[in-house]
Amino acid sequence: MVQSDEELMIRVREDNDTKAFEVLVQRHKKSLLNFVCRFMGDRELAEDISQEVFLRLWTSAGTYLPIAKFSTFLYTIAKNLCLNALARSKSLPKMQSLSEIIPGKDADKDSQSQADPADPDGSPETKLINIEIESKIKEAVCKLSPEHRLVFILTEYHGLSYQDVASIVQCPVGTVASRKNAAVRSLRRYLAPLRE
Amino acid sequence: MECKHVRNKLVGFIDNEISDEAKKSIQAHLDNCINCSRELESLRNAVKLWQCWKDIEPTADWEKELKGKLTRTQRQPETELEILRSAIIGLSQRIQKLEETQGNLPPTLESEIMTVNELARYLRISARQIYEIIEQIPKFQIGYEYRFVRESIDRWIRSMEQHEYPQSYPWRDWFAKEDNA
Repeated sequence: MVQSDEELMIRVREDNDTKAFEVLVQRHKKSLLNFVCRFMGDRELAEDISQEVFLRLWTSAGTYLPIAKFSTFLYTIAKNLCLNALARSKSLPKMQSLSEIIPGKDADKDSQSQADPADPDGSPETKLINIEIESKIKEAVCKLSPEHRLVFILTEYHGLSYQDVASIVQCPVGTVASRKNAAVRSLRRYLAPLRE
Repeated sequence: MECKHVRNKLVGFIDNEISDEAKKSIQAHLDNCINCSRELESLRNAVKLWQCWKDIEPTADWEKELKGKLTRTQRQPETELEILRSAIIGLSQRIQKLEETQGNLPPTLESEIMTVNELARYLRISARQIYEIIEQIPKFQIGYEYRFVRESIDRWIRSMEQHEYPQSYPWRDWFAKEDNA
């Protein structure tokens, strides 16, 4: 039987169960890496921070309470580490070169066939246009304030509910809604030229 | 619903994060308002656009590095045990000290300044009874908290001893009349 994240986390907490921990890593490594990468705008840094998140998850498993959703717990650690890293760097997230962030060929084909059904063959021209669009989106998202960026990324790319985001960001649900609204409108403005 | 209110809720509407009731009234408004419908369409197109930002895949090295870091930063059950053990030892020492000093309580609990509960214990009545006669008790306040100076309380008790009935006694006036009579 497939165990829930919460059940696995309790095994980690109670028994230092490394197998349960490994399952959690396998389940969440991709989404976590993508979250940090989108938030920080730097793949190398994101790889480092996402590893640190899992290290913290292991060392602070004792503080996990079964009443909390595992994803909330994980993203709270990730958010804290990202904000710490931002405070340390005291600079805007730096943009990385596209070659660093474009996934491998196979992954690229996979994601493209899912997200772009209009263009299943993915001709080189379309790919180039997509790369350009992606670059503009990244640029726009990095222009959002950290608070707005957090809410935007968690709801838009990770499908978290406003309620879950409110627990992670530690603010009222209404604040999440207004931050999301503001973020979407700013992004639409930044990206308006792309839609013309 | 006004257009302004509807537009503020359109993002929540797309995210399915508003109540069914609000959804219904927004839908009703959208059916009759071309401008708001266009706004919704524009937001939906924007959402489609940023879905172009594809996910990246963790590399094999990422996992290797994580494993390496994990083996270097293993959670030490012994360390946790040590912490718990020292906490228990510390607590038992404190309990022992408290037990030793319990015979000489006055300087600690019912000391110079008392809380409501301490005063209640001091006067051998309930805290509720303290609140009933709070107006007559010499006290000072810190924020919403009452505090009582022991010396003033003792003086107040001595002044009470001169009366046959406590000043707070509900029928004090009635008895006083009888006394005078």
